[in-house]
Amino acid sequence: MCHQTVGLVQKICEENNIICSTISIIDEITIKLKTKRYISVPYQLGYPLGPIGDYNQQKNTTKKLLYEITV
Amino acid sequence: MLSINKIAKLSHVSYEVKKFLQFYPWKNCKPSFSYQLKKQLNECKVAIVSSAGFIVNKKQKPFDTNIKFGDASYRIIPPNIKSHYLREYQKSNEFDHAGIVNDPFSAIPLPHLIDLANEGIIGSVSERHISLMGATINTSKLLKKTIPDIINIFKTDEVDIALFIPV
Repeated sequence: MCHQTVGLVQKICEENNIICSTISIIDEITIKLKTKRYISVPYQLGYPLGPIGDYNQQKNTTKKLLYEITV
Repeated sequence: MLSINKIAKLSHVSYEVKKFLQFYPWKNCKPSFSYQLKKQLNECKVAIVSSAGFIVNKKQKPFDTNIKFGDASYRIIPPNIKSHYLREYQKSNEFDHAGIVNDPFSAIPLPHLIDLANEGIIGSVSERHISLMGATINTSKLLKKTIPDIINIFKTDEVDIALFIPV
């Protein structure tokens, strides 16, 4: 349900000229929701940005999320 | 219909939950129209929306995990908060909570974003970020109250970009 909750917020943000990008943990659901802009991550539910304590990996994922907006 | 059994990341989920997800009437989250970024990334103010159900401990009311179809309220998280002040109230039992309990910033990357601003990758970090309790099945309050509030906050703060972190 998390994907849908943030997906609905993202939809309205986009319609209000706030540009968005989201993490997709379960792509099948993200596709079902027709989410506009996302990056697919290879992590399990509960670990959206990467392993706990791995600051650099989490930061790298955050950076990818930002760069997705510029594509 | 979702082929739930083929989704490896849901392999641990109970049969009942899989059936529920399979036939759940997923909402259409495609914007009816949208814009392109008109600024450079290093000129943009960025905010985060996390569904981890974080609150500022002892300062904000916990999310109500007893609401059957989900607590659709939100909390505002400041960018400079220390991780030990973040407490999670995500009601879902379908994932391992150890990550967001032990490393809250793995689901709301505020220090990471501050770093990216200091490095000149983004322009600035918003003064307010949003925490939701993502297990919201009844989306009525979310659509009528919470989302308009979030838009108002982001517009007031002149946010250009929002990053979404579902858990």
